[in-house]
Amino acid sequence: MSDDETVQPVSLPIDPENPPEFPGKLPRELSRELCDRLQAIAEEISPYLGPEHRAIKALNDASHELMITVPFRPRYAEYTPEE
Amino acid sequence: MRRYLIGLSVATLAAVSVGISEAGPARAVNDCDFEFATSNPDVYKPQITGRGLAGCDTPPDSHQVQLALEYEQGGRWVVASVKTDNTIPPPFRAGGHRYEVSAACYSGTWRMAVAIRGTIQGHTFQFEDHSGTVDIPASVCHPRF
Repeated sequence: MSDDETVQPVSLPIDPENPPEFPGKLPRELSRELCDRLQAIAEEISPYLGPEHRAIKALNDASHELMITVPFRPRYAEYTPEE
Repeated sequence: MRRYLIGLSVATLAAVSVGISEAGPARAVNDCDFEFATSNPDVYKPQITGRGLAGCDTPPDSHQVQLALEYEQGGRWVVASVKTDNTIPPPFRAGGHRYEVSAACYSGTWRMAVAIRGTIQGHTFQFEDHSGTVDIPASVCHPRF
C-alpha cells in the first residue's frame, strides 16, 4: 500500500461474531496531527517533569510508533531492483 | 482430463507471456524515506529538540544522516546543533531508525533540517529537507544576546 487515500478505517459498528480486518495503517495527515498533539502534551508537562522524564520519552516513543504506521513513501536513494 | 490439461497449459502459457510483457525493463525506484517526527522542533525548556526517522526497504551501501537544529538570524538559517549518524536504517515496518538532536533553547524562530547522503548500487544519492518553524518568545526561553 503506497497511497494514503486507500487507508480507510473499518466501518462501525463492529460485529463481534465477524470482526473486520483492520488496515493496520494510518493516513499520513492523521499520523502527523496525532504526533503534533503528543508533542503538545510533552511540551506542557516538560516544565514540571523536566525534559529527560520517562513520561516525555513515552510520548516520543508513541509518536514514533504512529509515524511508522503510515504507508511507506520512499523519496530518495534511487536504485534498480534486481530482476 | 486431457482437455483439462491442454486448457491448463494454454492458461499457463498465457500467464507466462503476460508476466513477461508486464515485467518489461527494470525500473528505478526510490528506496528510503525520512520523516520529521513532528511538524516543528520540540520545546523542552531549557532545551530544544529535533526528532526524525528514516527507513529503507532494502539496505543501501552507506547512509549518513545529519539532523540539525537551526535558528533564523538576519534572514539566514544558522546551525545551532547538528548530529551525524551513519546507521543503515531498517525498513519502517521493522521500526526504522530514530534520530534526535538537541540544543540550548533561546528565543527566536527555529526549525529542523536534515541532509542525507549515501550510496546504493554504487551510485551516490543526496536528500535534503526541513521542517516547519516554531517561534519561541523571550517569555519562554532567554534571548541569545
